[in-house]
Amino acid sequence: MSPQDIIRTSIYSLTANRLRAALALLGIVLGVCSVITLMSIGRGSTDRITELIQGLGSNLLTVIPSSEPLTLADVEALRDPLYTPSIKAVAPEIGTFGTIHINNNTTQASITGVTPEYLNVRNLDMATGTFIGAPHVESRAEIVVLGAEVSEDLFGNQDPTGAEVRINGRQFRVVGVLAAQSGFGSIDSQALIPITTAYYRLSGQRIPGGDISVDQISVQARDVELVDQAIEEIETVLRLSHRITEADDFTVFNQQEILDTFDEANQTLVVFLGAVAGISLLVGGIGIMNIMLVSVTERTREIGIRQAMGAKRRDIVAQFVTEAVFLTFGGGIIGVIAGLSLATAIDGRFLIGTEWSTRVTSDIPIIALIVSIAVGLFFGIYPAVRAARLNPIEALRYE
Amino acid sequence: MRSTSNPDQPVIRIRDVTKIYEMGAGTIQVRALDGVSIDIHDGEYVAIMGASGSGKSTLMNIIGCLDVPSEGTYHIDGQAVEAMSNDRLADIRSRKVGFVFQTHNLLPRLTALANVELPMMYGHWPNRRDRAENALTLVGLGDRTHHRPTELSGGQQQRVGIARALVKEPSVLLADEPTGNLDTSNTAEILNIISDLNHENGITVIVVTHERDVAARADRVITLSDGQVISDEIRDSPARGGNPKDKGRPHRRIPISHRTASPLPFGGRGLG
Repeated sequence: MSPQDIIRTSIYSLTANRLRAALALLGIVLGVCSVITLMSIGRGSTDRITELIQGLGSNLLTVIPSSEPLTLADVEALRDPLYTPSIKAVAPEIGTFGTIHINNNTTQASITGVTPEYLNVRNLDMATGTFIGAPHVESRAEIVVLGAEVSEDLFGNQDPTGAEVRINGRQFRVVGVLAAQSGFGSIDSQALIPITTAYYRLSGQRIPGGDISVDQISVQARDVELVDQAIEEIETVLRLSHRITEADDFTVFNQQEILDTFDEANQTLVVFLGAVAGISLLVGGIGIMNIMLVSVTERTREIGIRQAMGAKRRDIVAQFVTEAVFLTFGGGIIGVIAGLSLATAIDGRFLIGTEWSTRVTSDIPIIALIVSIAVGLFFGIYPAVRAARLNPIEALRYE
Repeated sequence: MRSTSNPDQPVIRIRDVTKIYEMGAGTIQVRALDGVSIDIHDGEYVAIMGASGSGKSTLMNIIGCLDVPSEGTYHIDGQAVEAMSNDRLADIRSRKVGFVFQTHNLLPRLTALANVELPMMYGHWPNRRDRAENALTLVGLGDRTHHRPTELSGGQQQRVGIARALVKEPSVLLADEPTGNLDTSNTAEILNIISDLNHENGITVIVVTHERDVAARADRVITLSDGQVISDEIRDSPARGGNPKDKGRPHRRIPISHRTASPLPFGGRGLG
């Protein structure tokens, strides 16, 4: 049987029962559509995390304390270019949580105590006003720089620069507003104050020796290539100043490591979602097999006629497998179109409490189409072989 | 018609064929055929008769290469069939046997032309459309090629079935109760066509029937009972004498292959 004959025969058979063919196809459409959509979402969220963390700078390192606190003295030690030639900037921070209010407007925000370096180290931009300066830190000034969301919550669209707000009951003057950043772990819902102010005015913690303890220190290496060297320098300096002989009492995180951790978690999620979508494709495939088995039974007599006319087993197998593949491939094409449309439609939309971002790539639809053909082959073989094994005499007698 | 190398070699050569069906998980053995030997030569018009259960359907299945004998040998056009695989049998069916069924067995959604083209899908046949048109013209349906079976009368449907059986120029036209589902006038129409194909185009015809008047059109009647041949009579062409329609017709040659029909080898049978 020539390929044209096989294709023509399959189309002839499939058009005999259009509704049934369409319903069988639907399972594959939904399966492929969900695979495409979920994979696009997975890619999109990977991109988002990568972008966000790389936005912080891939030369960014984070030091957090473990058994012993990190202090401003440690920060000063890290700033010494003699010991840390690979380090460009060091930005300590203290995180607390607080209530900000003005008149009757109240909002909850993360209050972060920072130094002037924070602006550059974290790649932030000012929308209006100025950032915290060295004199503010020196004088424990009660001034605040608001995140975009906090500013909007309290002041709407007005410029809050110069306004007085109350943070946990204390009066602070707004000196600036940060440019909106959006996204995961965003700065938008934070309020930044001088680190000394945070320590002495808002935080209750004190350490012996009168130094200021910090929650984490962001360190910017001079160059991406110098990151490893910078890590070594940080470790050397802190071990010296902490007089460590055994285990470190701090941890240095590379931005890349954090990226990898997020990516790993994200990949796990994508694989899980993909598996769920894959199962729906499997169910679709079983639906195809079911329809093909019904079709073989219904067309027993036709099979008998074809056998009497000289059809070999392989001709019958080819005909039925082609029908199954037509169904799954057709479903695959519709599913790809639906999946790509859906992925494009939800991209950048705010739905069910999350902002969705998707990335459509050409490899996903191609893989989905190949898989849908494979599903047709896999689930079409058994019904086709059953058709080909029919005894022609009995098949011709079938009512 | 065909290139049988030896004109004396029968188209169908059945020797001591026995067919045993095992029923009830091998506990009961049914001998559907019991030592049947038949030779059928090129150009013969043979009727196989018998009551139901006589074994005529089994014999037809074996002649049509749908089944193989349990014992004995069967040659079609010199080829031994009894030990063939399923695919080889399909190949023989494709090239040597043209089936005409009781219920025409046309595919309902294909046109007459497409139905006639159907057997040519299995094998490499050039000019399928021309051949199919010629075959339909031969059975008098040259103007109905694009009708679907439902748009044709019962007799016309069966004529499409005959055209489909003929289109590959088989060694033998094997008709199983070809008029079983037809009324009297359609029966006459179909029997005339079969007679014409045999007498004028030299096609070897085997008709399996239980009806005397259908068998009466044949030149030779083989009667089966309980799986054995109980009579094998050669007659003096009653059909030609009895059917005035046949007389006035111009002599036609089968146009399917555009080959000249070979002289009909009826010699020695007194059919000339």
